[in-house]
Amino acid sequence: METLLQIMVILFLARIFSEFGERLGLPGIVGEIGAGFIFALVLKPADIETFSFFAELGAIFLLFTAGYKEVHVKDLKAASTSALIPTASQIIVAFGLGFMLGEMFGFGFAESLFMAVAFSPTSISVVVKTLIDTDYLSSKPGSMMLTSAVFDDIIGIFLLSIVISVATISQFPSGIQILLTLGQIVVFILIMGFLGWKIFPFLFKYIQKMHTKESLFSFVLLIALFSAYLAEVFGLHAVIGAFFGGIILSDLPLAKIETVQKKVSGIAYGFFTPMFFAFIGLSMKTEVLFTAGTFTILVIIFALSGKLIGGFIGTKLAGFTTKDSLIFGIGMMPRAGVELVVIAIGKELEIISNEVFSAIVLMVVISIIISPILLEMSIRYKEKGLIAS
Amino acid sequence: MIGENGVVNTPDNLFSISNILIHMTAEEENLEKTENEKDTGDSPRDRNRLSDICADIKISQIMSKEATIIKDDEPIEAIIELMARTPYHSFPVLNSDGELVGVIDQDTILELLFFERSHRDHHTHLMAIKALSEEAATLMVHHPVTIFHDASLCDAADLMIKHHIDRLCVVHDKKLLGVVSKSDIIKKIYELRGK
Repeated sequence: METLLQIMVILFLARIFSEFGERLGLPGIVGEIGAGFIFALVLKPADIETFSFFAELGAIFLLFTAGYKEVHVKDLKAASTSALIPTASQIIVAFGLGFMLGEMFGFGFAESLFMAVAFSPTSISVVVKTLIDTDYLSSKPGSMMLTSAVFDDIIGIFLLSIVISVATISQFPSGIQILLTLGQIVVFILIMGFLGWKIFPFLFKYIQKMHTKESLFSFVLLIALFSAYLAEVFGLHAVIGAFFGGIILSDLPLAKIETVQKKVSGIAYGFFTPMFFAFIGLSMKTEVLFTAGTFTILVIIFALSGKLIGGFIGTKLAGFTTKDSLIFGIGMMPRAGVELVVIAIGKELEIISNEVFSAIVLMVVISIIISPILLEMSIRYKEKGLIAS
Repeated sequence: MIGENGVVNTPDNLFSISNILIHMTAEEENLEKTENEKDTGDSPRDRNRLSDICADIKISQIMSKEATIIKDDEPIEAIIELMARTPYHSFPVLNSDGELVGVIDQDTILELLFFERSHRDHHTHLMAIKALSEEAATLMVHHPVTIFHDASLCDAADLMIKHHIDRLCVVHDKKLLGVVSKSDIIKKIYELRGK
C-alpha cells in the first residue's frame, strides 16, 4: 500500500474509532488502539516503516505535551508531604507485583523490570469524569487521587530511564552501574535545567521577534526534538528527553502563549499521538493472547490489583476509612499513555516479547473500561452504606 | 494633550513636530497634510512614520499604573467578586513581596467554574487540580506574558498583534509597574494622530 494512502487510512480510522469511543463514554485512546488493530487485521500492511516513524514521533510528542501542558513543578512541592505514603505504596506494590509476575513466568531480569515499570503509573484523567459525575472530585479520596497522580508521570519516567539504561544487563545491576545510570540522568537534568533557566528564556525573546512565519511554534517543536535527541546522546531514551523538554518550557511565558499551545496540541493530538496509539493497536497480536491465556489474565489481575491493594494500604496508613481507601485504590487503577510508551520502547528494544506486549495493551484497554465503572460502583455502595467499614 | 505625558520634553523624538502641528488650524493642517502627501507620499496613517514615532515611546509612558491586582492568597470568591465589579478581563497576581507571579483572566475562571460541563478532553489532571483549588496561587496561569518597562510601544503592539494578547504586565525586577492593554495603545495612537 502506498505510504500516503496508509497514513491517510490510519488517521481516518483513528479519528472515526476515537469518536465512537467518545460516544460510548470511553476515552479516545481506546478507539485509536482499536483503529490500529482493525487496520492490521483487515489490510495486513507489509511495509509500515513510515507509520512506525510517525508512531515514534507520536510517543515523543505524547510525553512532550505531558510535560509541557500537564506538569506544574510547583505543585510537586505542595503535594509532596500529604500524598507521600499513598503514592509510594500504590507504586511499590504495583511495581512489585509486575516484577513478581515476570519472575513467576521465568522472564529475564530486564523483561520483568519493564513489566514492573509498565504496571507502575496511573492515568488519573480516565476517572476524572466519573469523579465529577458522582460529585467526588473534591472528596477526600478524590483529592488524594489528584495529588498522588501529580507524581505519577514523573516517577514513571524516572523508572523508565533507569530500566532502559540497565536493560542491556541481563542480571541485577551492580552498584557502580546504578550510580553511572543515575549520573547520566542527573547530568542530563542539570543541562536541561540550565537551558531552561538561562538559555531558553533569553533565546525566546529573540525568537518572538523573528519575521519568519510561526517561529515561536517551530522553536517549541525544535526544543521537543532537541531534548529528545540530547537524551539519546546521554544514553537515555528520546521520550524521556521530550518529557523534560516539555517541563522546562512549561513555565516559559513566550513558549506557553495560548496560540502556541493550541498549535502544539493540534499537531500532537491531531496527528502524532493518534499515530502512536494506532501503532500500538497494530502491534498487538491476538493469536498470542489466546495461546498465553493464563498469563494475559494474570497480567490484568496483577496490574489492577497491585494499584488497588497498594492504594488501599497506603491510604489506610494515612488514616483514611476503609471505604475511602477502597475508592482511592480503584481510582488509581487506570493506565494509558506512559504505560503504553514503556512497552512500546520495550518492544522496540526487543526486551519484551509479543506475549507481554499484547497482554499489557489488553490490560490498559480493560483498565480504561472497567476503572470508571468500578469506581462509580464503589462510590454508590459507600453512599448506600453497603460496604461495611 | 501630548505634552501631558511629558513625552514632548524628549529632544530626540518626533513629538515636538506633532505638537506643533496640533496648534495649526484645521484648514492649515489639511493643506499641510495634502502637500506632504504630494511631496513624500506619506500620510498620517503612514505605517513607517507611525512605527518610527511609536518606537520612541516607552511602555512606562503609556501603561496604566493603577492596575487592579489580586494577591496570591486571595480566595476564589473574592476573585469572582472582583471580576463582577470591574470591567477588566485579566488581573495580575502578586505575591507578598509584590512580585508578579501569575495572571488570572475571565477565561480561566469560566473554564474552572464550568469544569464539570466541559468536554472529557479538558478533564486533565492539572485542570482537575485547578478546579478544586480555592486560592489565586493555584488558579492562576503561572506564566504571564510580560514586557519590560523600557520596551517601546512598538514592541508591545508587535507582541499583542502577533500572539493575540490583550493585556501585558509591565515589569522591572519581577515587580509589577503597571499594565498596558490594546486600548492604551489605541488611545495613544489616537492622541498622536489628533482627533
